[in-house]
Amino acid sequence: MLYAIFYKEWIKTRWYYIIASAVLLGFVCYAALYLNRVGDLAGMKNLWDYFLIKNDSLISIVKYIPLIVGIGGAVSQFAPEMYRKCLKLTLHLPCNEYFLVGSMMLYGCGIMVAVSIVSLTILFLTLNGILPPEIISGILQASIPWFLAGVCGYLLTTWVVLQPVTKKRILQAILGAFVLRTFFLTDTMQAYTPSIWIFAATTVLTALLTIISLNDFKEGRQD
Amino acid sequence: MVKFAKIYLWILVAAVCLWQLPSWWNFLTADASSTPFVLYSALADDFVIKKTVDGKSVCELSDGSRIARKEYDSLLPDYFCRQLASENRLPDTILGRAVSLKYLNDENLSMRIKPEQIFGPQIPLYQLMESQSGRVDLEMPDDVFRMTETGIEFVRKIDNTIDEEKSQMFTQAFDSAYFNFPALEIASNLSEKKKYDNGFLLVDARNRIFNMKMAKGKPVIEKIELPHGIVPRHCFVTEFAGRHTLGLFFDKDNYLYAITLPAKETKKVDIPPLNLEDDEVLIMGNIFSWTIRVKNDKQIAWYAVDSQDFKLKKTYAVDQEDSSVKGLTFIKNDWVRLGWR
Repeated sequence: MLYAIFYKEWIKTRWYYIIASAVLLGFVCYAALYLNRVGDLAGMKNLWDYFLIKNDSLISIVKYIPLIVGIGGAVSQFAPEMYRKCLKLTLHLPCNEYFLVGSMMLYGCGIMVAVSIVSLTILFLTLNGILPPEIISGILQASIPWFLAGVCGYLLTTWVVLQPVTKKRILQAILGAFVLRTFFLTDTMQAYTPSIWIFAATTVLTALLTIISLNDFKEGRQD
Repeated sequence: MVKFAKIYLWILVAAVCLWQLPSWWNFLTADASSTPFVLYSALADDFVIKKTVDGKSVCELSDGSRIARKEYDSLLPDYFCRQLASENRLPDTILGRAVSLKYLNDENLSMRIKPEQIFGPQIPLYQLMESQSGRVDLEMPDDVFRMTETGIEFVRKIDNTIDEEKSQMFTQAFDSAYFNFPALEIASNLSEKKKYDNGFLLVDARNRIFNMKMAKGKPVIEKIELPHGIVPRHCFVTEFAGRHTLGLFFDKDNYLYAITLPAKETKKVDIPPLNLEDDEVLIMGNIFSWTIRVKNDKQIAWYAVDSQDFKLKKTYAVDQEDSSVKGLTFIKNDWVRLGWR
């Protein structure tokens, strides 16, 4: 059943995720290339000095891309379900509805996590030769909250899109925006490191919120 | 499941409200208040204060008696030496000491210590400048170093490779100075704009302070003698033009000490222990005294200490009017950390 749901979701969203993942990985590659070129043109000495004095990761061009990909992923996956009223049919399948929607979300989260891991791996591999592990670690630690924001953005958007009541949907979107803001409070390298587990836990727990929207949907609440 | 989800939702709602509502309230109701500018005047043996009252700048002594701007300048001839010189009012001697514009300028010093400097995130790579390059201006080095459990390791910036020869030379110098690795504290004042280089202050595993410099490519490592029982924690290298101090440090009880030059003696600065997590320190000094401002959310205190023996001369404090509403915060000392402020 799980594979069948994954396959259904893949058919529905494959072009979005292929293009969005390509865009995200393109930005990541550009950021890595940018660091390499800055090193070549301005000199590695100046590049190292910038990291050590400014404590800035220099890859902020990537910052909001995972979030945009995550939000777009949830919209592409669940907006058609709501618009065409397919979700009602899906929930009538002989299976637990939480399992059904959870599997759909697992598919989206899985892609987001996979793309994030590939992105971090690209950054690590391209910077490994030119920068010391302390700086690479700082850059990766600075970017982890952005990728977590991508997953959290996906889950919050799912919660908003599946909500059938417009007023609630607006309030949920506002709350979601504030939650997502906390992933972008500073660009300082390593600043999130001591509390990254709180943001990871928040992201995981955010999946629970969809249950509320699903409950409203099941109970037929509408404007 | 729905119940759990709703509990989590309300936790999120509460967290966002506790974070956003106080910050918006404080933003909308904040008063325009400015910190008074306070310096100790050796001539008046008192603090002289410049502050804004009803939109006008006024100067006064610590007892509240008003003074004219010209008198204010005259009471702080060190700080306003350029202004006094431009008005031909700079005295030849101050409290029996012959002075000149250049001398006063060179002896003036200022230094700020913020909690994020001590506790904020930092990449554990450091840069050791050449302190005797023969050039007037200092230059950033071509390498960085890291302190390991057993030694010091220099890494070339150009190709990210370890400079084995230099690493070995410095590690041997540390061993010769009986430095016990690993280093517990590594402090420097990295800037090309400073006038000279005092290198690094390091605290070794046995809580002893060492000064490390590089002179003509060679390591110079010197142990700083500390009075018995002092356990140094946070060090700050000073490179003031007057060259009377090598650095400052706080001990484990947060008392401040100065390492003087040329004797490299440690002298206790006679001010109360600070709360380094919250206190912001500003030091402004001259030939006679240092005015040390300690600022936190509740109070601003100024301590005047003698610039030679660092004995306390006078204190002055004002309470901070904290009418702000407390709320959830996410940033403390440049770290993202949940807090209540």
